Amino acid sequence: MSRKDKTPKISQKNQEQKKTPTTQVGEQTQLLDSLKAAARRSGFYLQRSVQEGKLSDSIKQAGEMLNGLRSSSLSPKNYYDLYLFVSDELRYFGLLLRESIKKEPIASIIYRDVQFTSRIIPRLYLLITAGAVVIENNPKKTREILLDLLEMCKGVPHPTRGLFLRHYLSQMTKDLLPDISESEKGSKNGNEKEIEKEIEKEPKNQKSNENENKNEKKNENKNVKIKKEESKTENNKNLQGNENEDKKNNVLPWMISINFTIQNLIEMNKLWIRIQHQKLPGNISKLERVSSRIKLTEERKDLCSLVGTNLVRLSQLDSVTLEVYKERVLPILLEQIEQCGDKIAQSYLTEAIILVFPDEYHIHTLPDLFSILPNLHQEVNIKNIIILLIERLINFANNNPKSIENTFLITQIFSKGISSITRKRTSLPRIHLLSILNGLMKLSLCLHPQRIDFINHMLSSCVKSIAIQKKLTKDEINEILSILSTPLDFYNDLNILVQLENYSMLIDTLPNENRRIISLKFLENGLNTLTIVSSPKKVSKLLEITKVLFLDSKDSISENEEDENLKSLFFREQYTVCRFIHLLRSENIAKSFKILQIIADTFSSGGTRRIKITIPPLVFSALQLANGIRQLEKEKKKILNNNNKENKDHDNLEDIGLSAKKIFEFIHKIMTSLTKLLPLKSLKLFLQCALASDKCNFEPIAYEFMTKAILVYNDHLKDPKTQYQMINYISSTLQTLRAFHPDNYSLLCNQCGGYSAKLNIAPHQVRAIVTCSYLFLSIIKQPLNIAYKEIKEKIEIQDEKNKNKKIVKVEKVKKIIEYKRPSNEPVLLYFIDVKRLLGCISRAIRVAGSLMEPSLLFELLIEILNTCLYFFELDSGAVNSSFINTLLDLILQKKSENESNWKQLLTKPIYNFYYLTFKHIKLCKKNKETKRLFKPIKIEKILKDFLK
Amino acid sequence: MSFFTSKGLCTIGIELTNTQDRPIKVVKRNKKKKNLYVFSSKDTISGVVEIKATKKRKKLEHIGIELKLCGVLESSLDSGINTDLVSSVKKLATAGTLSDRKWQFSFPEFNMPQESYDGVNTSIHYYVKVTIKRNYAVNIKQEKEFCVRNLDPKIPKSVPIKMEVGIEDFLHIDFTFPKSVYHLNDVILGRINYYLAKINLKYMQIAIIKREVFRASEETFTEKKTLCTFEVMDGAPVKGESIPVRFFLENLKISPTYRKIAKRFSVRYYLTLFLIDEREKRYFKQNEIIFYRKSILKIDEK
Repeated sequence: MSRKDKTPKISQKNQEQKKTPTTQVGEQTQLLDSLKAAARRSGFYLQRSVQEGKLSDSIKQAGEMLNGLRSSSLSPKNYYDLYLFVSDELRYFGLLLRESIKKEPIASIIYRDVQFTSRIIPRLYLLITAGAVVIENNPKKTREILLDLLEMCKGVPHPTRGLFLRHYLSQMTKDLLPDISESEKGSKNGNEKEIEKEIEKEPKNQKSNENENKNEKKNENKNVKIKKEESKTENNKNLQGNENEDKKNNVLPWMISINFTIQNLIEMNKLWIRIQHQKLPGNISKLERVSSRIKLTEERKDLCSLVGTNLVRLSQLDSVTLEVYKERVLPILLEQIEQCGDKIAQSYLTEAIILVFPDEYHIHTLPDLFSILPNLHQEVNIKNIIILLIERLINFANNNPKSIENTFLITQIFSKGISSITRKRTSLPRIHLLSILNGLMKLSLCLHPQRIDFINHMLSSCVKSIAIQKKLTKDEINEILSILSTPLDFYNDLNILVQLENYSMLIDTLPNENRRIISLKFLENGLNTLTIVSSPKKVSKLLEITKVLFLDSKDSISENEEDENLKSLFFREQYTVCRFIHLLRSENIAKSFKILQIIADTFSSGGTRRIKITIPPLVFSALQLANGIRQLEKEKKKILNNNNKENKDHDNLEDIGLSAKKIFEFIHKIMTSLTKLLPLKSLKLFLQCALASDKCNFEPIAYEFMTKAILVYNDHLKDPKTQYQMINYISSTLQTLRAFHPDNYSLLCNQCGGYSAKLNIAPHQVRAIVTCSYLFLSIIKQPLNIAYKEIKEKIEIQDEKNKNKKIVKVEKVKKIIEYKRPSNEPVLLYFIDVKRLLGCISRAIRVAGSLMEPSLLFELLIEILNTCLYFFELDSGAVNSSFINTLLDLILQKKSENESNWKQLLTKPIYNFYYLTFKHIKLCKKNKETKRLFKPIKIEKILKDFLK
Repeated sequence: MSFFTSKGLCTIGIELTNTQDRPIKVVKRNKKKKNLYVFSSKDTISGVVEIKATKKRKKLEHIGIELKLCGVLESSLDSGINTDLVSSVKKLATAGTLSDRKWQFSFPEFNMPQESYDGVNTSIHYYVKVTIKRNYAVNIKQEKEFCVRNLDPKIPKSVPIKMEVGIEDFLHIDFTFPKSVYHLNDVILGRINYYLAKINLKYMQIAIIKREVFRASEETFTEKKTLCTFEVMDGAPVKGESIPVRFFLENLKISPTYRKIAKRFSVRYYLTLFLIDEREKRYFKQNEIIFYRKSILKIDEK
């Protein structure tokens, strides 16, 4: 190398450094292009020399071509580009070498001659090329050449150039590395099989002495090992012509490959790291320095695959068995990783090892892997590494179920490893620890889902890690949410989840809004999976876990009424709660009741906002339970009646002191808080309760509920429209109740009538009164109703005795009327009071008559007519034909009064209503069954009117 | 047999015998390639001299014919004065008239301790020289050069070379070469160990430097020539690293090391290591290495 041709380059480089970075990109491509052009030129001459078979000339040309790779000015990416180009051209040179070596045995001469090249970069590229050819030609030399190449490559400590040089070394030798070949494997297996056969034979021959047998077996096993090794070496000798030296050192050919690759990896790693520490030119500003450092790091990361290739190569070697990996490969790699102390290299290599080698290997070397993690550079993202490992293992476990033996051990290793990491790495960010714990939890769930204690333990670790007084970041919160969701999504069973003692503790660490999110998710999970939680204990735990939904807490966000989002979220939560409580029930009535009580307790402190929404479903839930109990009680009574022997269930029920009554009491209690808050709803609920208790035949309770309903109506309802609606509700509910003593019934009817009459708006009043009229002719319609059945039985008995009596007393309490229409099946009447019925109708007509609006009056009259027709058709005697006729006349009269503007007044629906009513009467007159009844009804006038 | 005309008066042919299987060394003389037979000390130099008178009509008078075998140290530095290292003269004829004639000659087991050498300013050449002495006219001369190569009878004692380069707190490097003595086709093997390298080195090379020292009557001339440079390292090493050096001498035009030939001439070789840092500043260290001859010809001379 003469100094003269060195200088221009240097001056050129100095110039480049002075230039601003903006022009660098263009310069780079320009430089790359010119270097490529030069290489192409030399490549051309090289090809010519190759074709002419001139070895020394081609060495010269190849060296010339390789000079481009000496450039310091190219960015790593461009350097790689050039490298690819040049190494491709070098193949021609390899071809020539291969030809020459065939002609005469001048292997050593080739290997020597390329070393005359005075510049080190070209020299070593040529040396590697030649070395590969020599090995190819004479595998005996593998070890010698590989070691020499490794040694000589030390001459290039320049990071980028050294890295590529060694990459070239790795590329050129990849197909030449001795490995355990297929045939060897086969023979190995063959040997093993034979030996196995021998072992099998033995015990058969010597059945008498078992102990001896065992000992011999052990010995045999040892022998097998020895034999295996022997056979290996023999094979190697045959196939590879192992060198004496190797034998002495006990180095098997495949060990050379492993050592070589590892060594190269180590060196490449060192060079790779060194890129980071390259000194920057001194004449640049601080800002430039920072930016070029960043650029350097980026460029360096791009080169990682060069280092990683070696790991891939290792993993591809068949000779790297689990044993070899564990004993000879991994320890060295780990030591290297630990020692290099570079964060990028440490994380890249660790991750690469995890990715490249089979998961099975990792399972067996977990403690080794974990041993280095705490010692890695503080900035290495341990989390990513562990999570990667966990993901791989989970994946492996899922794809190969049952293949992992000691699952428990694996989790333990992880757990220990992580705790030692947290001990040693004080800088481990909390978020990372949380992610790791999350991953570990997933792993634990995957490997041994039955170990809930593990999950619980990890939750506790999470809680501990958060214990440090520091506000949670957004990411941390998300991670905690993920941690909390992990077992939820996995088990999909709240019954298991409530066993996690620490779950609620972890939830408590979250801010209010996130607690709400996860609690909601919790409940939704239950709803989606329809998991029934039937133990009171579990229920109270569940409520503890999700308490944020039920209770106000210190950090509750003050609800801004105008914030629609918050509002809708709140409602969504509460409605979910409503749906959810129906999942909390048991087959066991006592437990169910207990559960209801627990829920009620929790709800009661939830504030009015919540109670408004949550109490109704609780009431319904309780009503359902009451109904269930009632059913049971009945059945038991029956059994008792039929068979007076002891009945266990019944006893149990009594022991607990539970009866439907108690539940109604319970309902009554929780309802009281609601009346003021939510009068309308509580009114409806009272009615509902009345219905339910009526079905259970609890007259006093039903009466109480009805009274409450009316009380609410009286105290809290002021809006006329609502009043009208509610009084309708009350009266129609009342009409269906069947457990009342007629006196009580009539009392309630009076109240209904009274409130109806007090309505402020006349049409409302009319309609409400009309509705009330039904109360006085109450028909038992539901044949399946329990109350009905009871009654019917009694009726039948009574009927036999007093066939002519129409009113039958039942059990002294109830009055039941069987009314037999002459033409029809008997109708069961529950209550009849003709006088008051007619009173209602008359009052309705009177009030309607006072209305000033003819069309409304007309409409109301038709409605009244319809009601009357209903009573008439029942043939109850309450309404007779003359009443109907009078009403018809009244209608006609009102119509004629307004004849002039009739068509304007009458809207089509009203007219249709009128017409259909008329048509109905007409039909009834023709109908065989009703012909007789309807005969006195006079419709001629109306007919005439219509014909007009 | 070669014939040379001297001023058209006669031709003198000198032919060396006993040249079968002798190696031939190709040299350049006056831009012409010449093949020289290679002899060693204590070889018998024998041959035939044949003189033919070209112009037979004119008689050529001479005062005697001499045959001289000599080894000459020639230098352009000391006003062209040559020093005979060895010489031996044989008289072929006494004064008389020249006639066509042949003489056989032989210098048995002639002692030629110094090898032939072609240097920058100084060289050593061996000749067989025929001189026809004349009284009033210029002597007629003819010479035949041959080459002398001596295998070193005893190999100089080799000591390991260890050179340290150090700048306090900045640089501490040592070079170790197990041998200081190499034969001409040898390989220089060595290592460079880095203990401390705060200086950002860019590359490192070794150079073989030849130093010819000629002591003229009044002053001493030294001629340095860098025979080659050889890059051994690219980039900056890291503490604790050790870089291998392997350098083949085969392609190099070198002679054995000569010391104090005729008390005035020596050829020495030095192994020099250059460290070049980012600012092109050079650090170097050099150490003499001794070359000796193991075979008559270097491999590349075949």
